[in-house]
Amino acid sequence: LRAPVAAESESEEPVFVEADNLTGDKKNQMEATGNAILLKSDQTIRADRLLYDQETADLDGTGSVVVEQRGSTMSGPHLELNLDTHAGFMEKPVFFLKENDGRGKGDMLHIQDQQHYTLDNGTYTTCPADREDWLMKMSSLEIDREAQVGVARHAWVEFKGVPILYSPWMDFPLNNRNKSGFLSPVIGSTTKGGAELTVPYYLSLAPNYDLTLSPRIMSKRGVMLGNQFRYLQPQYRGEVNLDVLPGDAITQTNRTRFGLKHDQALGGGFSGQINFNRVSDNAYYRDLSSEMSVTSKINLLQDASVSYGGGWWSSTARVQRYQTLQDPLAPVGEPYARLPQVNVNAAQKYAGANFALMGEYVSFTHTTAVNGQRMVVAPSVSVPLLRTPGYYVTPKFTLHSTSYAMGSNNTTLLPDASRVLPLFSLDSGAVFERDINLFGKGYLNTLEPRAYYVFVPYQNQDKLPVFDSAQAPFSFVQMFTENRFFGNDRIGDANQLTLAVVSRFLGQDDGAENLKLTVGERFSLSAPQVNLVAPTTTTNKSDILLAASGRLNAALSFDTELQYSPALARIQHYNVMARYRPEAGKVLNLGYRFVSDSLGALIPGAVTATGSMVINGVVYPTFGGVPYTTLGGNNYSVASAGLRQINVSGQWPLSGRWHAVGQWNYSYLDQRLLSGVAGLEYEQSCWMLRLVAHSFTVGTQQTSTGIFVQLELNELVKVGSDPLVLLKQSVPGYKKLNEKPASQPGAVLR
Amino acid sequence: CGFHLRGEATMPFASLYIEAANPASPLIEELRQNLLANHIELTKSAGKADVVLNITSDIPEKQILTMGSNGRVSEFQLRYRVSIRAYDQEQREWLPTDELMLSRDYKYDDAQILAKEAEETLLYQSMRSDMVQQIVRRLSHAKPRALPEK
Repeated sequence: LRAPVAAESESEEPVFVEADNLTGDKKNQMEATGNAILLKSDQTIRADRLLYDQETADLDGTGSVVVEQRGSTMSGPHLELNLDTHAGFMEKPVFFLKENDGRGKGDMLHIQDQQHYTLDNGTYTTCPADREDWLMKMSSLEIDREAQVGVARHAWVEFKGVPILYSPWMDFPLNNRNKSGFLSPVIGSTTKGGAELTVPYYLSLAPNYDLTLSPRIMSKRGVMLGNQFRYLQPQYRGEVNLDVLPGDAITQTNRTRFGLKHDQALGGGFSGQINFNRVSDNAYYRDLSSEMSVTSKINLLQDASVSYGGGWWSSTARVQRYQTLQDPLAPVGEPYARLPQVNVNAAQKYAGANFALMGEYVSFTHTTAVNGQRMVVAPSVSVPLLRTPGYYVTPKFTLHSTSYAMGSNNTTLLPDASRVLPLFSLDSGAVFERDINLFGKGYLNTLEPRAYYVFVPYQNQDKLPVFDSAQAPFSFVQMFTENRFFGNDRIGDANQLTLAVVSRFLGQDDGAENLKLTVGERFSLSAPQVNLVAPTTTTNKSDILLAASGRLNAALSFDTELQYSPALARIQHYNVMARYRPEAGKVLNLGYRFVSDSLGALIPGAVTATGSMVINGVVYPTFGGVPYTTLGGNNYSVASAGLRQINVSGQWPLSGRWHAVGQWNYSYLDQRLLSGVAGLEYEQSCWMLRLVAHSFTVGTQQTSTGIFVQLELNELVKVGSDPLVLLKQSVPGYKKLNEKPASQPGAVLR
Repeated sequence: CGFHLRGEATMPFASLYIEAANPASPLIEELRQNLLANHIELTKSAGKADVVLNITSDIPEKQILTMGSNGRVSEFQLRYRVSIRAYDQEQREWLPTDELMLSRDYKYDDAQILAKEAEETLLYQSMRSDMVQQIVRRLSHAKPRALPEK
């Protein structure tokens, strides 16, 4: 039985009523009893009895009234609602919100209009119906759907019946859009700052501007005020950070940090960028941060640039320098400032050849080291002689010319000089394929040999300064480049051939790279003479590189690389990484990294140890105060100690609702824990508890430890100190267990 | 042993539209060059293409790989993650959303920060070329999947 009721009122939405019994009288009163349903656009109202006045659009429902709209429901014994103005009330409402699985009840719901509601003496939780582990109670809750804001008065949160938070007034956004208000407070304790509390306050100044004020109270140091101002416009965007701790109680100084990031579109292919960072003192981050990625910062970038890109050429002009944060126990050389650096790159195709031009002008300045200006112009041409999907041969010729004008601090009297060198390279390769079946799966197996020859004549460059250059480590990327150095101060002489073979196993069905095996070796036909660490044995004359990596199946992936030096008969470095991630929330990572000591000069003749020295926990014999090591019957000085580290991390469910999470990063050379994380997570349907301890190295001989305790009431609030950034960084593949599945299909559960 | 020289790759479609937040990014530019070399027509609008390739994210990251005992970074890892998805005019999926991830490790030394900047640039370039190869390989294996039952 279904009776259409005349379309009416401002909304023009037809109203349908159906029920077991429908009666209407002459005054347009309609009474529906027994499974009565009223339908209006996306709203459904059910009740035992519905009384509807078509004239006034007044609706009166009694007995098990349920209002449903887009999956969210509200039920109660009695509803009065005007379908035109949407004003009315519901007694003893019980509601369920589909957006965040939240539910609750109250004494009375006042409905002002479609956008505004007030709930008296309400409760709210995201817990399932059968358990109310936490509950927010409030004397009143005002909901403004127009402004997407909720305001609760006299609100307190009970966890397991114990009140844990109280606020006389709190507002919160109804959607993810940011809205002014207090963010979750952060409570914690660190060895360097003592007990601390941060209460961030978020101010939405306009849709395009916001400000976050974060007062942070540290028991040992005082009160720091953090300010972050962000702005976003079609033509520009950026953020400004200013953190101030006036009168640090430990150092008796003012401590500040300033940061400015700005991106600007200038039109016509031009853009501008500023990235400026400054802190008040060397120990700022080590004292005041508990994030390893921040405490490890040595050089803070201060940079402004204008770039042009588009078409066949691009250019960048920048001024750049760094603030170097020194550790008194391990000072580091300050880098050069580039005031300014201008570079131009252009590429054009003509008659089957690729013409390119690289040009750069830099004025290098330094407070103590020699200053100077450098100009580089390097035109090149490459000609693909053969180019098919199966093989290719490409010769390339570059004329590299550099000139220097030396400036102040020229204590060693380096002359103004210039250098012109031709660089010739010949790149060639082929790709073979076959179909293969392995473990019941079809693969396309490739075999890709490549030969790369480079010839650069020798020129003595000892009288040239070193502003921005360093010996390039031997790697699969570097072995196919012309220069053995990064930066333009040195062009390595070369008469060398690099041979490499790559073999891939690609899934026949999807083309995914399941396994990649690589081997490469460089053969020097004459010994290279240009070196930055002179004389040296690490000119990567003919080292062999081996690598294997792959995703064997959905759960297991690995990555490994090894470099071997036949000349020294030793392994230069190797690393192994394996990850087992059968499903989200279950991950184990295992990694080991080994880097051998880097060697300095060959010590000629017989050597008798005159003493010993400890570098990073390793005892070396010394000769004339220089530590040395013996390889293949020769003695070499030790420039710096290597690396031997294990890194194990994981997240794994224990029994019940407990999950373990941890990381152990240990250095065998130093016999020291570099970073350790131990934590437990307890997962309940509507809340999570995280207990995490962290200890890590900051600066020489310093360790920072912190304890994180966090209670997260799902979709409401996080209380305590937040370990999530730490866990995501130290446990690759970590999954926040109570995170809602991403809306994008396929983006989750890999 | 069954190996033969790679022949002309046949792509399963003739024209493609690349949908990306920043269509002028170096990745998209390199991908275009590669596809043009594979005789794929690149259309100016999504409506005119056989298949639309959506680059949903294009994220370079730099993460600490190992720390020294002095609290300084001794190795960094550069990561490059690109999420792709391909579909046709009937909204059939040709490539379901998937994330391709590449990484490169390198030794770090704050005393050589300017040279390390040049090294990072080179590593990103190499990852970008590798990424383009992987995307093209995925595209060459793409095929329409049946629409899910409504």
